[in-house]
Amino acid sequence: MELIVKTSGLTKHTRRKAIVSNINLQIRKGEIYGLLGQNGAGKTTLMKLLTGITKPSSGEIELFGKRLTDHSKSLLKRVGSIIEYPIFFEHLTAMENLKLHCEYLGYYDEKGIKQALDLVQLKGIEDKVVKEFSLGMKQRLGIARAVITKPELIIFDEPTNGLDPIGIKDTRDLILMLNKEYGITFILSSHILAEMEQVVDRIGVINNGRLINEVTLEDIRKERTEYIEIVTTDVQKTLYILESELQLTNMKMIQGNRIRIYDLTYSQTDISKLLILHDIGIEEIQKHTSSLEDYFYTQINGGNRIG
Amino acid sequence: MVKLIWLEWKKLKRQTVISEIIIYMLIIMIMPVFFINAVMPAFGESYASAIELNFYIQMGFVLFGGSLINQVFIEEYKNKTMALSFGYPISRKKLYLAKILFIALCIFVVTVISYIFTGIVTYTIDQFFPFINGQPTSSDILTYFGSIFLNSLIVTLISFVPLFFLEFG
Repeated sequence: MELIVKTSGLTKHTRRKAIVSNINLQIRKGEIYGLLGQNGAGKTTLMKLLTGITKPSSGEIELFGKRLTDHSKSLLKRVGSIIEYPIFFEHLTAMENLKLHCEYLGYYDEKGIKQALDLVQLKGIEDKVVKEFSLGMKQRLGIARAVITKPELIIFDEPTNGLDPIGIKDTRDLILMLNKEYGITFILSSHILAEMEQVVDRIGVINNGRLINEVTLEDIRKERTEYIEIVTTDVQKTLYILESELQLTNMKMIQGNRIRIYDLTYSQTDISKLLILHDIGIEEIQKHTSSLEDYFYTQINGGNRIG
Repeated sequence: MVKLIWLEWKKLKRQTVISEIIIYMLIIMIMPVFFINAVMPAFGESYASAIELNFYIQMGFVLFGGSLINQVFIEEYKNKTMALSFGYPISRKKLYLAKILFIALCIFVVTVISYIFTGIVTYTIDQFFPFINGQPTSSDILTYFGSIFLNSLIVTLISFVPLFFLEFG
């Protein structure tokens, strides 16, 4: 499989500390790769390194099979990006900003600009100065700018930041469309894990500047555990009945009054009926699925979830 | 490189810069008249002295240079648009060079134009309200036009002094 991005021992440090440390990343063509990590984990720095904005202290970056150096910056023509937040020349109009971007990249296609604006549903704003734009509009314009030249790799740092729910859905659909129809490879980072879960194929977890794990979403889905959580008026009696009547053993009591049943042989209805028959009051009963958020939390905190 | 220099112009707050240039030119244009009449009449003894005075007056464009450095370098770092440029497939050296050449070209051209205008305005006013002794000799005119380019170059170079004190990230 063709590799679009490959880093080996990629490190960036300041005088005092390492921001990104020994990252070995391999991103395949056509993949949507998500970077997960807390604030300050090093996601943005990693993205800045991949887009040539920051130079690495050591290590190598290969884009499209060629090493990225100051002499091979032409590789960046094939990359579109929004890092941190969309930056524009605020005193210029949206159109002037987009044209400027195209001129720097040596891309001259007025139609392309119009198409990109249509893709992000920004119309009739071409002649407005960017200073007057809301954060959401700037984000849309940033996405338009990133896709204008139809790059092969797009790097989005928090692409849904500042967007309303419709904007978030539109962005997600746009990413999926660009990926499916044009085969564009994406590297995304987001704090909204549920959003990420709906888009990415593979996830790299970054903590303290290190890539601590890489998993496919498929793997997370396989590992995903489901359970029924009950809160009753009498916990001890509930446990006794569930064990004796339903022969359930895979259970856990948490927070002193909650019971988690991992054995899903019996449905919520069966359990409710049984407890009512034994005159036990049910305050709460719900089926849960451990999400990407749980996975992320476990990775970062080593599973020390307060529960 | 010519294209990169042109793009620097396109990125600029052009209205602000053009108004700034007009204000500088207007002030500098009447400075010799004002200076000789109100501050140091000694420079009005001959056209040769007035030409020497004009050289010092044109140094005022060093301030314009400072303002351009602020817009082209400092503002770009402050607004983080510099990071945007670093993401383009152009080496940093070329990006910096384009900025430096753009600033140099602006200061040089503006100073040359100002030199010519100031000369014409000073001579014209002197014809109606004499404040400089005598008339310019052909050698004065030659010296004046001959020194325009060299003096404008000196003003341009002096304008870059603040750039040495900037630290680029």
